[in-house]
Amino acid sequence: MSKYRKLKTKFTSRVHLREALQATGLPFEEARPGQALTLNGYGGQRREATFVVRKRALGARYGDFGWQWDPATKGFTQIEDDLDAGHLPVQQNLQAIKREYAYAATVTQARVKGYQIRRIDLPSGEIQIQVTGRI
Amino acid sequence: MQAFTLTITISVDGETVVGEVSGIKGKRCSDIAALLDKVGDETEHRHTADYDAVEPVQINAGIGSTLSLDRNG
Repeated sequence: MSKYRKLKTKFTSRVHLREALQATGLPFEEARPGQALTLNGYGGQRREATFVVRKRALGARYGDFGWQWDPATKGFTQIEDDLDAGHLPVQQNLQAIKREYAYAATVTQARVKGYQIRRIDLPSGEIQIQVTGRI
Repeated sequence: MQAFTLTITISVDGETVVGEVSGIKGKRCSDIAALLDKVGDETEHRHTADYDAVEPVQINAGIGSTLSLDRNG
């Protein structure tokens, strides 16, 4: 090993977030550029988001989930109902979305460079990716 | 040209991504590790002895022949 890096996943790419949602197979809606979708929360609360997964699809009980671009952090902020936050099916789906985002963000650059990519879904739930090539 | 392997592990919760580059001597491993730049914010990085090792160079020794050796001969 010659170099080791550890990173914290951050949703900064609309393209990769779309790819991640597609990879999970969850039905989702995406707003057109310059527009926003309405996200319905508990008790009739409404918010706006760029991506929305409706609560039934995600396994949530109280509200839809969404991601809205935040210019201050230059990333997508997750919008969720606090009442759903600890619900296991919701957490499992959100973790899957984050894993697939990290995967998409990683392999895109490797593909552009023409490197070989091998994905291994480990029994633990982790994703291992092996990128090989010559430089 | 050096063959490399970049092994990436994405945690179960998707929060953490770890990348380890192997097979490359010298500072070019940073070019490979840069493939992770789009994932998010870096929280840790370190180099091993291979990072400070000399990179092999190739010298064209004539028609149809190439001589490989490292920088210190």
